[in-house]
Amino acid sequence: MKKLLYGILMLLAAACNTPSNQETEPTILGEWDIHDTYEGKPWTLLARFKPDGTVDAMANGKLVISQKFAVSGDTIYFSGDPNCAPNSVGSYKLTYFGDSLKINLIDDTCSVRIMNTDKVRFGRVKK
Amino acid sequence: MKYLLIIVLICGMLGAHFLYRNRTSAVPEDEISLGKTLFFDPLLSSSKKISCASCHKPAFAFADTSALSLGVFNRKGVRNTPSAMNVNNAAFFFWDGRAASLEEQALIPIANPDEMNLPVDSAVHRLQQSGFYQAAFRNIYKEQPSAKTLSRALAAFQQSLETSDTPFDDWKMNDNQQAVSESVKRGFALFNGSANCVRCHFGPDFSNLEFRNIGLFNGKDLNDSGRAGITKKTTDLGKFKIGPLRNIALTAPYMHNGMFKTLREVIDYYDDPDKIVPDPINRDSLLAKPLNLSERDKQDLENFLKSLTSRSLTNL
Repeated sequence: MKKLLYGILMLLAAACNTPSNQETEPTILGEWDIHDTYEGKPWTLLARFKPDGTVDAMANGKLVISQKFAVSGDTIYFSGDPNCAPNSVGSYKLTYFGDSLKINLIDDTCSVRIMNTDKVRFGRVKK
Repeated sequence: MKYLLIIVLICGMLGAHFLYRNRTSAVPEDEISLGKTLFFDPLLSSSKKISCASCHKPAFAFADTSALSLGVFNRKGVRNTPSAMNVNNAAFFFWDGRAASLEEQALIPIANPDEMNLPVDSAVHRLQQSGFYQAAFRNIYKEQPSAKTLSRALAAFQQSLETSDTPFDDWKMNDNQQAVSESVKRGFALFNGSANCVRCHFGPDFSNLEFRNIGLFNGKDLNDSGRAGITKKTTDLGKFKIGPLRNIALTAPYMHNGMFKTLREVIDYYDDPDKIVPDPINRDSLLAKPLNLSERDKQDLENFLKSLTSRSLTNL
């Protein structure tokens, strides 16, 4: 009986430790996209955030920009945008809503990056 | 003799019938096809021997292999023929940006005395005299050929010349790490990093909407003032449009005057511009210091640039 109780306790403990029961932190890593229309035609932007700290953004079958990013808490820092001054860094707040993500300006001096990044809402690409 | 005459007449009628039928069936049915036909048609030059494709050669990414192209009567142009591909994102056309749209650009070489040397009105008249083009323009635009529809058709064809099927695209779009070599990856990192190329060449076609002076103007042997000829501003002296880099490996020679024969010569120039042109006027500050690229760096950059070549063109 003691052994049975011990076994049940062990099973319960193991079950509680399985990843499926853990609250997973949202991560920006992976692919996100935006579906929109431009001049009446469908337009999709795909952003691939990679573990090496680079993000590639692609539209209409071509790479649009490749820049660096770093995440700290709910803040993402972008750098390396050729539209901006060298060494310019912009910070943005990340807000996750399940499978979507909204990016809002915190601080940036690069107007082109602000235009391309602030208030952008991505959806997680499902494979 | 009578029989022979009848046979000749019948053959002639049959021949005319087949000729007409074939010509009719080949009438383009959309703007792009019509634009393509016009692009390759020497009818649009005064001598009827030069077409757009005479200088914008398909096998070379619609650029030319000569530093300066030859127009009608072997007249030499004044600037290197740029690729007519991947122009959808461009805001200006020609090295000095004199045209603000593809439609505007399309008519200028037709009228240029050093290129096709045919006034646009005359070109339109020729098209109006052609039953083939009359049918095509009426079919597509519901009107007879005009300067406006001629430019629209040529622009539509050029807009169709987009390429995104390069090894580089395969690497980036499909995250296919095997699509390019490690050398290409290093070259791309250099391009975006210490080599500074990305400061001017970025976006989907590795171009820019700006004009820059890269140091190929000294007011002596290099005396093309470039953008300043259009804007009349001294600050624009020696500035030229930043061209796209897609298919660049096929479009030698390089720069507005075609002075560099190979990609390696271009890379060597950017590595240390003063070695090639020691007395530039108004050169961009981005090129103030030598890059000090190693031999491997140069090879990596060259391999990255070659990875921007469309598979459709390498298979020609």
